[in-house]
Amino acid sequence: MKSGFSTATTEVAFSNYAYPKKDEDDEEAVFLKIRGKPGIKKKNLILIPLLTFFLMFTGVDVLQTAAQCLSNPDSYDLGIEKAATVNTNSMTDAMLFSVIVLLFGGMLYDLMGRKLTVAIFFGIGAVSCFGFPWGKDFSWKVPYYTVMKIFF
Amino acid sequence: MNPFINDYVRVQDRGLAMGIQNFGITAGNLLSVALLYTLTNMVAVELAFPIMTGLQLLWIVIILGFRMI
Repeated sequence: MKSGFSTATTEVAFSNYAYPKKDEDDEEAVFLKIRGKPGIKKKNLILIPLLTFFLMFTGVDVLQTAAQCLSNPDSYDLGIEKAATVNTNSMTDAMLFSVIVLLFGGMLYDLMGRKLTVAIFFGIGAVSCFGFPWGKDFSWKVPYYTVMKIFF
Repeated sequence: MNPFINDYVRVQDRGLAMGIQNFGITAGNLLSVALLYTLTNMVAVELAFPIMTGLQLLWIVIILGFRMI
């Protein structure tokens, strides 16, 4: 007859069991209670608000200064009324083109990668921003201004 | 418009991430008007725009230099 008692020993994994140690990359990155996906670091999470901050910090200033230089006597010198009209029209044109950029902007991230797309967007912003004040002496300064604003 | 929230953040925390992203917009807007515009308004237009160009190039250097992407 078989005995009802077993002599087999069972090993239980206690807390001091030799589990494989996790790499640093496997640890979950957290930034302001936002948890990153596996492999994502804290600096990647910091970029989320930082990118919009950078965009607005310079973008708002460029738009304000550009609007102001239209009526500035040392710059475009269009007069207050014409400056307001040109500013409104150029903003409307820029908004129309921004629809296209919004539609295809997400696709560009997939096609070119995140690094290159961010660099190109900021690069175009930097170049077009640099060109704003140099059109003041042109006979076609209003179209020049509009094109610069569209690119920005 | 960028895919960073979808790419970097866990599904459960995306709402909070969007809030933080919008905070970046508001903070940037506020500091731009309060700080940067006050500074660039004091200098000539020919100097103000190159300053902003330099800042935007600096953003590229910071983002790519620190390998934030």
